[in-house]
Amino acid sequence: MTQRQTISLTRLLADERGFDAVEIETWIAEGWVRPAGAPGAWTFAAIDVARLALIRDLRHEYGVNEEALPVILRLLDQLYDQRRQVRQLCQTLTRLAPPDLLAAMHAALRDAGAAAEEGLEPEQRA
Amino acid sequence: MAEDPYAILGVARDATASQIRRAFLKLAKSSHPDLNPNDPAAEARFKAINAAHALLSDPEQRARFDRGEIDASGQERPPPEPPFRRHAYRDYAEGPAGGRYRAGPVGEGDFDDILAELLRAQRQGAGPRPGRDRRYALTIPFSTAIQGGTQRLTLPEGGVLDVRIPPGMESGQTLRLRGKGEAGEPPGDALIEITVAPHPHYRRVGRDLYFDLPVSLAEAVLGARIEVPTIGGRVTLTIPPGADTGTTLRLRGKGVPGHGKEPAGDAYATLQIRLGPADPALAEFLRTRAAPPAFDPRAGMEDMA
Repeated sequence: MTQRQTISLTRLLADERGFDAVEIETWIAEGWVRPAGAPGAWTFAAIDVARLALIRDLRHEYGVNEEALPVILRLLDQLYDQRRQVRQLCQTLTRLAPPDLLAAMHAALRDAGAAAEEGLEPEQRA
Repeated sequence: MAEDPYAILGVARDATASQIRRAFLKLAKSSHPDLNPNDPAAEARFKAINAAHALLSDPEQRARFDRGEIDASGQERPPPEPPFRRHAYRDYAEGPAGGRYRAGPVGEGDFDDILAELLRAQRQGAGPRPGRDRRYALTIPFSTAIQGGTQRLTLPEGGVLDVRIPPGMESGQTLRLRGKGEAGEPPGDALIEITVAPHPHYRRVGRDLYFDLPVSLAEAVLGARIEVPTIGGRVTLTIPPGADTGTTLRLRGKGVPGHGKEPAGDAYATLQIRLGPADPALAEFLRTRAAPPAFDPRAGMEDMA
């Protein structure tokens, strides 16, 4: 997950299977993938390559068409935004919160989780 | 990948190419790591499904596998691990790099919503918040401090508190009344700093009490049994004959009452002779007395001058 490393389109096509240069240019033009660089000299970070692979899977393995793809991508982006926030929040809490607060939160969340499985609000639990 | 690719995809060995594809798509949808981010096993399952599909969707490879020329993992070289990308998209998207594909407008703080929610909840007092302690000062009568009792405290914010005073309180001590402070969950405590009012007759030293006890000349000279009012009630005290001003008598156990492990203190009465109204007979006796004993009440005063 190194951020600084990037590869070129030529290198990408050599390393990864199932990519098509024209198709990748289309996805970039649509804004579905946003590599650094300029047309003809794209540099792909690891996340860009992973996203290209995701789009490739969705298009060719799952049969998702060009209309549905941006919808799915946007939903995924929102999902990952949320998960990234939760992760950051957890890291911040782990760093700053006193241990007894963390223990209390852990217990409260476990109770809430158990209540949710029973279909109850936490307050309803005797 | 040593498992049978037919078993992985859940198809018969004579399945048609379209049956294999349908089985693969069905499984892949429930296993794609990006569509199942909460399932840590999804990624491994997804790889196995892909490998099985790669083998069986290629008629030549499938035929060779069926003939036993290659095994499920053998000749079928697993797709070379891409040298650059080693993780599913999810692993990047959830990390700091994921900000590149943020769904919301760039620059909007990730935590604005969450923090706003927290601050709003705090302003509204939502959620249990502990009440703070409140401090009060209370002056109590000397006798209440010795004996204990109940003293009513009028609160600056309105209302009253009936404060139970344990026996033996001293100035500067603080009483804590649990839950009588600011409202909250849990409520705060009331901290009451006690001042003991001085008494016109009694002085307190530790758990002992000192006071001056006026006696008449006759009681001092002849001795007497007299009743003495003390803080704990009236007690009978025996004055020995020939007592003088300054004679101190101990009333055992009549100081600060015992409390917990503390034993009761004593009271000390220092006699003060009072002559009372002029007594002509006494004056005549002193004047005509033949041989009074030698006595200089000011002996030793020379040294002090």
